[in-house]
Amino acid sequence: MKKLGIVILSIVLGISACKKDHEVGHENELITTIKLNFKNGNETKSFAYKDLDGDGGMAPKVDKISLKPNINYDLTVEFLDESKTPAFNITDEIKEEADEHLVVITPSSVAIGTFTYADKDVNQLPIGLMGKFTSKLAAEGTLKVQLRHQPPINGKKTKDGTATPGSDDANINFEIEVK
Amino acid sequence: MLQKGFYFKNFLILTFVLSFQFLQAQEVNCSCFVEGKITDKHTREPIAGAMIEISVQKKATFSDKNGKYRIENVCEGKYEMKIRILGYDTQKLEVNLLHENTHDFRLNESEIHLDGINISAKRIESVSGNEKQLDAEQLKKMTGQNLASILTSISGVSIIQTGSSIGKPVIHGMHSNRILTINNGIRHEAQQWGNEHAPEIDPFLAKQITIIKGAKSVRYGPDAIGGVIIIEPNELRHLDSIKTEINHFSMSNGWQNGISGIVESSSHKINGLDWRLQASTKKGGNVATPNYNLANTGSQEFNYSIGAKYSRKRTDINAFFSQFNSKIGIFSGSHIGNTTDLAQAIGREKPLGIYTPESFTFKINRPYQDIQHSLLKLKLNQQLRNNQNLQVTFGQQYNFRSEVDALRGDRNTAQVFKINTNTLEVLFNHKPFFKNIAGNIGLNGLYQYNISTGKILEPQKSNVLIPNYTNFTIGAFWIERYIKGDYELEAGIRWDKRFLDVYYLERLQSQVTSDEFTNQSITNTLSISRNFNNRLKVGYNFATAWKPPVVSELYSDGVHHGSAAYEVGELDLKSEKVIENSVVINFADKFYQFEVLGYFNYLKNYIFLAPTGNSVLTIRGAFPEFKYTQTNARFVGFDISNSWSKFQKFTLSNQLSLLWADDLERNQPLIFMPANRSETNLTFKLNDFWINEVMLNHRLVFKQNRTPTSSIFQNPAESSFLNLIDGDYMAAPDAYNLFDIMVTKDLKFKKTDSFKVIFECKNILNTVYRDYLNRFRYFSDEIGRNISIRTNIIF
Repeated sequence: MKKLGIVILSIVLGISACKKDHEVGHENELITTIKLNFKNGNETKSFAYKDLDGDGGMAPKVDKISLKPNINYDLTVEFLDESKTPAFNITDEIKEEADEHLVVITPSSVAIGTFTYADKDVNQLPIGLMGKFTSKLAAEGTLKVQLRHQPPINGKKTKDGTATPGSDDANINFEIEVK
Repeated sequence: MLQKGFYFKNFLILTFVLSFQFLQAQEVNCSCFVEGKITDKHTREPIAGAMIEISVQKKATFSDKNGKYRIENVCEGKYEMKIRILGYDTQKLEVNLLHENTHDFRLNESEIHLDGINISAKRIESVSGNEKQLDAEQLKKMTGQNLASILTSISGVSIIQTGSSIGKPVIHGMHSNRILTINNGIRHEAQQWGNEHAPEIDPFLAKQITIIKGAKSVRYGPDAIGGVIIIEPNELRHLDSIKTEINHFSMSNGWQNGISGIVESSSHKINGLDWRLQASTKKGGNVATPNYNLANTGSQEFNYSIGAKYSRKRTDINAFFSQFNSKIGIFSGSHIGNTTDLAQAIGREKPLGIYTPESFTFKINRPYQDIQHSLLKLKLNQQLRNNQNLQVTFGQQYNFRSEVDALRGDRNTAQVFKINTNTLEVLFNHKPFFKNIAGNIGLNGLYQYNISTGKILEPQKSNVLIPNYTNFTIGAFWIERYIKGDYELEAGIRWDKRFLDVYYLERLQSQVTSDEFTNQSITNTLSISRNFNNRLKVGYNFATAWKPPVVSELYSDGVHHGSAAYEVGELDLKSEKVIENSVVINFADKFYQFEVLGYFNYLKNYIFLAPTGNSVLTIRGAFPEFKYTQTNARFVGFDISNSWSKFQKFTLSNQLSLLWADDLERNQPLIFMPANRSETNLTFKLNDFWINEVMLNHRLVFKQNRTPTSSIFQNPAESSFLNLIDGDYMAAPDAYNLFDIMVTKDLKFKKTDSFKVIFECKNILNTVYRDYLNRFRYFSDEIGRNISIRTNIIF
């Protein structure tokens, strides 16, 4: 019986643990910039949200989106970390893990325009880095751009093509004007 | 320490106690006796007037002026002996009285006796009686629970939870840096500032936990404003053979399993060398509420410790090393990006289907916490001439904490904190003056540094929660205790000074900024108690204590994950100071015990976090802004306990904890304070039955009706999109009732000293409830029914 105790103890002790000291390989992820590129023919209009010093500190700079009515724009969305030089492109990372991400673009009213997805991940679900934005009549309002991070939970996929699962990695309201 | 008048009174009580003797079958030999000497553990002075009791036999006596005692005419058998004296810890001891020579009729030797049992009693920490203890027997019944849950069995102690696996103790409404934990004689230094940072201590190693409810700065230094938790393993002692203890538990909720082993003995080769090895491990998967499972709520733990003591003549040298490792999954449904996510989560009756999977897993995914805490202790205890004594204790601690968030790819680690602490204490117990005054003088030093990024003086990143810092604190104290008759008096004074140097990078700057803070304070204490006929004890305690603002309160600037709050520190915070007044009335007779602890604490510059009403725009959306601020506060409350017992077979007890905490500047209640509670317990001890003990427990937690009514900060900007209800996102949850049952069986085997099996069912009715102090109450219900089985084997 006494030997048994020692055996149990030495087995448990055998799973030795050493001093933890990992230096963090990378800084916290920081998205400083969201860029929306509206392309019509050869003309591209870009609008951005920029907060170079990260959360807090100086207030972010948000461009006002200005579009022409009744036009089919090709819309691409870019996510950048411009606090580093050169700027780090987070869009590529999102593409790599497209099955865990969804960009959701919501105008404050349908009178402003509509967004349709033009890209798909491996599971045939939309990503939203590319899409079509069709402007309507002259109107003013907001355009909400969300990057939903929807990682698997206990090995089970959560992305289902809707915005519900996961959490916001980005959530910005751009002012928009169609005239 | 001797009091003649005391003796006579004691004799009367003794007669009273003995007159309740039961009629017993006198078949066995009842001429055994026990004798020995009682001494103070530290000064080794004899203790007079201690009550030694063998309750099963209804025998009791008091130690004489030389500390000697003798109980005669005890029957053969195995008994529990209890030693009690004012100013010291109650001790329990198992004695085995054996008749070795029944047929020897020679007069003097016909009495069979046990070798003198010499007891070294330990001084209680607090003269006024505002302390409570959990002993090894009580702790055995709670293995597998985290430290804070164990402590909630004491009145006046509640718990702040983050999900089901992370718990922080709250004493009289105060927590985090206002509570000091003394682990194995060393001030536990980790990341106490965070509400989701649980104490990094292995409860399996603890054999005695003492809680001091109230300020105790004079002895333990800054931060001991709300109370002190003292955790101790058994003292190492000489053993002729190897002693082993194995503890195991299994729980149905989350399939949590744990095992702990302790092996201790003494060296045969080196005289005076005693040692102990201990290890424990624990693993649990997703836990379940009454209606659904919670994804990613598993936890793992692996801890070990090595201790050794070498005693020679008047010198004891102690060495101890322990390491705590833990990985805790954070409920996936609580990972929210911003306030919109939070508002949606609050709006849902039940978390989304993906966060409440049907299937069970042990796997821990992101987000999770990965924690390690190591402690090295070296202690020298030197007896000097004239009963004087010198203790030098050195401690080194390393705390590693990484909070890994659900971020993209495998390349991101959210927050890493590495904190190193060195402590040194020199304590001198002087020889008693005028026979009645004993005391000590001590010096404390602490050097601590925290590294969040780069090197201490060269931080590399600006977006860290806690900047790099060094903290150097020195202190000196002097405490004297005077005992005369039924009176006991303690007075003490202390001085501390803290030097805090902080190194950080400002936003978008590469030049290191450094700030320097120096704080100092003098604290004092005065306690007095009087014992009336050993039945009624009245104690009064006055104490002051302080806490300089901690780094998180000064420097926070960022989104606090999981709580959807943008937290902002305040560099101009002043030190917190408390003036405590408390009274303890304790009455005990044979069948009834009553204790009330009333406290009135005034806190000057009480630091707390409150919503400003503004929001901060970030890339993830807007977050409500929370700022650290100060006010003068008042904490008033009562811990009331009643206990009726009949022939030690049946006990009914109730504990009531009441608290009123107010912000005096705004004339409203303080936010996030524990609700009033009542706990009722019914215990049956059955000696000749197939089970030995049945315990029923009922816990009633009232609704917290005392929440702030108006906003803390002036002039908030336009109203936030998330409506704050009484300074909170969600109104305080309703009151709830919980019922538990516990059945204990002692098994007897030839080869084991003790074999205990404990069966327990917590939350029998599978009640759905949420608790005000659980930070995850926005997202999910508390866990449901939990059936557990525990075994404790000593051989």
